[in-house]
Amino acid sequence: MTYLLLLLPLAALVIMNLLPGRFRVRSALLITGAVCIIQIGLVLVHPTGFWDRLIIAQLEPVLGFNLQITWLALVMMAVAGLVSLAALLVAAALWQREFELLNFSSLLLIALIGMNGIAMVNGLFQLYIFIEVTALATFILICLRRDRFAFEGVWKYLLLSVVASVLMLTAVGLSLIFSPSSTFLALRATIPLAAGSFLPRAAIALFLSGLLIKSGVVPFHGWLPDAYQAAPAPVSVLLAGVITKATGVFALIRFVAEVTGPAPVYQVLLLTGALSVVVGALGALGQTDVKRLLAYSSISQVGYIIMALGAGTTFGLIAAMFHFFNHAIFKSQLFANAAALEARAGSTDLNKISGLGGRMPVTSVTLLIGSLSTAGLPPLAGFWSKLAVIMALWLAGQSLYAFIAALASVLTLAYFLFLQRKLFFNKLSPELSGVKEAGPLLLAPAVGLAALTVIIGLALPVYWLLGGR
Amino acid sequence: MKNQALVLSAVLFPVIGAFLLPLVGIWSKQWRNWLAFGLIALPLLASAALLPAAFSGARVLCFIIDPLSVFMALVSALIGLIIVLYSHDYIDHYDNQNEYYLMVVLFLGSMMGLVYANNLIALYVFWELTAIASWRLIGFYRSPKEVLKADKAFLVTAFGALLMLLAFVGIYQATGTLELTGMVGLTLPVSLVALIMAGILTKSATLPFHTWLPDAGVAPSPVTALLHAAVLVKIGVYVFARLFLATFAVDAVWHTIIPALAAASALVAAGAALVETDIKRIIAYSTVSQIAFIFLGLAINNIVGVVGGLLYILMHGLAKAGLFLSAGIIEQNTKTKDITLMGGLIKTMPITAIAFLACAFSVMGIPPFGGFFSKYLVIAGAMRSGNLWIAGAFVLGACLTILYLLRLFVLVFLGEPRGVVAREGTPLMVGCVALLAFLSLAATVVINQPINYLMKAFGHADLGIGLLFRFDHFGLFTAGAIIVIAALVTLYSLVFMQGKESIGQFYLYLWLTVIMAVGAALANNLILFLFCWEGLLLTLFGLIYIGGQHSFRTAVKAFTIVGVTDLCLMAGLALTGFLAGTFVMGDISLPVTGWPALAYGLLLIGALAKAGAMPFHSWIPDAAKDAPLPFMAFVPGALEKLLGIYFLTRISLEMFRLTPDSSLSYLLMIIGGATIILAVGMALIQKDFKKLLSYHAISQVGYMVLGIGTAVPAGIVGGLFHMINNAVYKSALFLTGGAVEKETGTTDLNKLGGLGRQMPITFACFIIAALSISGVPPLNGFFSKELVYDGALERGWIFYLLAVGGSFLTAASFLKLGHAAFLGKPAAEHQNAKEVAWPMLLPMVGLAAVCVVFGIYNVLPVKYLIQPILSAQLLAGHHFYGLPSNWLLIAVSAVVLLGALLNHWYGVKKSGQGLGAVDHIHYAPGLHQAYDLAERKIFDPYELGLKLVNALAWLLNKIDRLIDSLIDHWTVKVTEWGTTAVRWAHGGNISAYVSWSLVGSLVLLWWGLR
Repeated sequence: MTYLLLLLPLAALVIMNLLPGRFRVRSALLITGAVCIIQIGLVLVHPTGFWDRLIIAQLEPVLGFNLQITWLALVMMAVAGLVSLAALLVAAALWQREFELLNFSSLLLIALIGMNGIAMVNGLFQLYIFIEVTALATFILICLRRDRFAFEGVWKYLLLSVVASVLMLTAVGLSLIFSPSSTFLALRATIPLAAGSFLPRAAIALFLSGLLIKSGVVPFHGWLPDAYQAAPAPVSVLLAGVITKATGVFALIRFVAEVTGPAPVYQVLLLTGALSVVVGALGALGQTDVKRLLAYSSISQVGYIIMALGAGTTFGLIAAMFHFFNHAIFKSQLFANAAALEARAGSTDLNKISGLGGRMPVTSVTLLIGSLSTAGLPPLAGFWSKLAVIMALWLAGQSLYAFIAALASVLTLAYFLFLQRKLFFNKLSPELSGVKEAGPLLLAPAVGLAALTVIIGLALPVYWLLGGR
Repeated sequence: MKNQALVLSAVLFPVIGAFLLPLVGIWSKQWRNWLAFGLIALPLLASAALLPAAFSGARVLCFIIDPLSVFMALVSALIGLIIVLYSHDYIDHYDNQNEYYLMVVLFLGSMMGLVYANNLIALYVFWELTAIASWRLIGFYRSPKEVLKADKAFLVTAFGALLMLLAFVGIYQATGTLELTGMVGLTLPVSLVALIMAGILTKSATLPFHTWLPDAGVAPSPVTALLHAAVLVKIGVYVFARLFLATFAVDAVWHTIIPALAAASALVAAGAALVETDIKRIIAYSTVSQIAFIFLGLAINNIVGVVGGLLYILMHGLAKAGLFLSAGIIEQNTKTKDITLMGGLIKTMPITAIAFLACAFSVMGIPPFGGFFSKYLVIAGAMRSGNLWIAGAFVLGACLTILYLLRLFVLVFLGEPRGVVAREGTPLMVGCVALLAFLSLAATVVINQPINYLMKAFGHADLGIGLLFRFDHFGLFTAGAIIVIAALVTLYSLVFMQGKESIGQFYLYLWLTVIMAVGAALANNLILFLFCWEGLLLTLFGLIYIGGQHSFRTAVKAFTIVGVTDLCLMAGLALTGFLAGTFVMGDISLPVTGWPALAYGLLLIGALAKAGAMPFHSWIPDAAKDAPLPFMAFVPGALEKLLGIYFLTRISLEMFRLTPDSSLSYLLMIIGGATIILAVGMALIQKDFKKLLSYHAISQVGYMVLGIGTAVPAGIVGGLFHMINNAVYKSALFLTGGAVEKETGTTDLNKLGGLGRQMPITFACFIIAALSISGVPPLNGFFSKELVYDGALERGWIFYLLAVGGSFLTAASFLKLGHAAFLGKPAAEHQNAKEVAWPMLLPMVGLAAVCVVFGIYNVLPVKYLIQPILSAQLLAGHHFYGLPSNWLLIAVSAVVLLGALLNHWYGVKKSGQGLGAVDHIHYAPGLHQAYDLAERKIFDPYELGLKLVNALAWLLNKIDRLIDSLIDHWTVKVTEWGTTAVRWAHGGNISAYVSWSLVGSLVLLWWGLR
């Protein structure tokens, strides 16, 4: 039944494009939303037997994907469902034009298929395919509104994606030389045997490079701020919250956890992770645009995930996934806040907006929650995952990296305080005197995700204290 | 089960309830305010209910009930409650009140969580919650400046907290647990201690992470009181106690490093407080400085220090909250924080002023306020640890505390208004401030309860600060003399003070002085003695202050000099108690070598300063001008000599064994001799009745110090006899001066003359007392002086010469004084001066009679009052009453007196008037210039000291600014460089991006293939 998660969006995609004209947009939105909700529900309930029972035996030889549900996949798909839903709400709130909404829904579903695939496939080549499926949908999504700025952003993304594709594809090709097939199982068996030889090492290095580009890890990150900033509001939610995470970070986690094992790569992960953490935070400090600032913040946070993975322990993997989940939640929430600002104040330029705290109370409070969670302040969700990252690093003997991880939080806090100061605390600029809080549809994702951040943050310690481990 | 419910409700109700406040606030302001009050009252009550179970160590979830947590919870909830109450009025006119109450209650709730936490992560979570709440509270006013300062506070404390978190992770790695109770006794490696200390120092605003605290003064005053004085900054010290006293063992090196750091912090912050002009910044720097005392106490590895440090948290919290809340009233009503614009506010806001002063006294550690005990215990702990340099630095820090708080009080409340006018705050606000001041005072009454509770918390027996008195001959006799003279002065004042302002205050202070002085004379416990002795500071200040419009300057001067020397005494007593192993004065007997010599030296400073010997004398002549005359007659004239010499005798003869061969004996004699000659030299040229007398009050002390310093029987008996005699004739002289002032309205000798005929009885009393002080037989002064001469000659002719020279000048100056005031032509404007009323005459006559009786029947005082004080072996083979045995000495004295008479005759003849009788000495070449400089106070040790302190403060302030620029400027600068580099790299050039990626891939490939 694992195929359900690929086929359901696909079916929805076909159906909603076939519907008659008058209801098309509304039903497209509803259907897409329903798909997201069903996906979240399936992941939450995730009856273990269910996935195996309804195997469509005939499909397996045709597609040959051999999909599997692991806990990693469950987290990924939950995140994909949640963030897609949030992005959809933002789009529904902001956009009116029919073709935009319809195309957005369709492309969102395609991206969802891609992400679910990334979560469940079990081979290097399949992984590559689904990464490309997702990426393709994303390219179009970014320039959906056809403005010049967006084209420039997507051009950078596209160009570096192509480089990544070449690297990854080469790696897949190389792997087929020394391994009977490119499935994870086969690779995992052969790589340790061929440990000393040239080909596996080259394959690992190349595939890793590709994934690092996709993740936007320093120094492979050049495209990321431009793409995030250029993307229209709902797309930026999607892009920052989940897509680059799925195609890059999550794929990287799977690659390391299920193919190579941490031993050959952990130093690279630690080093690039730490570099991302610091450079991303420093970059964010100097920004005057909310979305660009958040983009740099993404680079920094991805660094944490990569570092945790580099700890090389199971705890590190858990910490990485936990932070991955939290980051998706709060970063998409922050982009939703940015969308509200853009919609109401007409800009995301920090030099143009100020003093909105009293005008947009819900946005300011949720943005504060998201910021503090990102900066790792208790008792919000981000604190627990950041604590897990720091602990994983320290317990793995990487105390230097634990230091970097801890102290970069001060920089994170610094740029978010800067953001708060600029947006909400200064005097209200006169041209913004008519600004009102965003509507319920636009606030819903921000409030919902912020609530999730708080609830996870509070539930976790309570769960521990009451005896659960 | 009940206790566990109490802990949970103490933490959870405020933390969760805080979020209800904005909702309630939408509906009703009143209800919100009182709900906030209730949410803080609840943890207070719950913690109070936990007191009986405090030693149970019961645990629930991540919380623990132990003595430390219950104590701290009570302290912070109590202070928080008063502050919230105060906020009801203070915050009433501002926006964002809902947010304010939310954050305040959340803050205090988190504080409760932190205090009760038994789990490292819980500790950290609540720690950061307080940081978030304080961030919003500091930036309450929301303008860029405030928000920036709030951000600074947040970032600095978060930086420390994250380092601490790393240490917690390290501890978890070492122990496998996060429960504090599971780690007791674990020795932490240096690196982890350093990380935790970073967190603690940032939160408790200690060097070098302290500058966010003064900057946070931009917050509303209740917030500054709550966060920066009473509660937030105590988090660091509390966690220090929790981790390093109650849980972990640390390397001994920390017992030096942390106190040293704290000492630097105490001094730098005190220096900055002396330079700043913003009222709240001054108080904030004071907090930084005081927190260092707490660190000292806790880190010094000594139970007395630890208890003192914890007690300090309570006392400083109460007093500092009072100061900040007073500052809030001032700030709100004057609309400024600049103290250079204020002045004279005591007239319009008297209650605030008095409460402020009371809290300031408590922070300074002046009895009878609670802060005295904590400061004493901390200093005592430091002394016990043996780290003298650090203890010395803290004594200096305590001196600076007195200086900057007095400076603040004077500039804000005293003097002439400098433009800003203000009215008193609302009753609620003033009431809160007064309550805090009252609590600081009331704590004294029950001081043994917290002290013994804390002693028990660390498994020690009670520390006795008992009301232990002894009624031996010396004490009773001193106390008796004080009471008799006080009674006479009171009688005299009935007429003299009639119609003056503040007469009620005068009697209050006068008799409080008597009570304290009697207490000091009878105390048999070092701490009790110190309490009474230092308590005199307060009344000293009050008595001078009520003298007139400008007398506060002299009051401040007197307070500063005596206060600073009292701190030396405090340190000396702490050291003495430690060296002797007992606090019972009667049981102490130490030699004066090595460490005990230091203790003796410190006690000596206190005794000499009280007696008014040089170089601690310079407030007395000023007071002569400013203070009410009965004060002069009683305090510098009699009481301080009695008490100072009493204590000097006690330490020199009983508590320490001063021997003639000891260098300290020489030191005493040098001080005595110098005091005699220099002070009388100044007395000689005075042209004011009272001021002339005041210099004699100093000079006469020299004889007593010289006498006792000789350490030979004759000198000691002479010194003590002189102490009695001086109290009698000096009071009498001042009282005659008062009579003259009462009748003529002036004491300026230029305007007086010929009063002898109009005021014959006064004149007669004057003559007797003047003859006595000049050492003319058969009056009492003659006999005591002869004994001192005898002793001095035995130790060295130079000392004898100084004493005799002093007598010559004394006689000369009194001849001049008597001649100018009572003889000669009556001044025209005083034609109708007449004899004063009997209540004024009676004390004068009585005292003059005593001069005669004690002279003729000197056996009476010597045999029955003085000799019983001294041990039998000291007196063996001597008798000191009757006529002096050494006729040669008498002959010399007679020649000297005759010389004085001749000198007077010559002077009068030369200048043509009584007042000019010593002009030929005054204007002698060489002396003339020296006198001019002295008159301009060039030699005043106080002025010199102030210059020195100002230079020191300037230097310390520079250090403070340097540290601040490192944090505020250079950290930001370095980060900016990084940011600029990243921005520059992101020029938008896609080929650059591609090449980074490709280079990255190549490096990876190379790495992989290596």
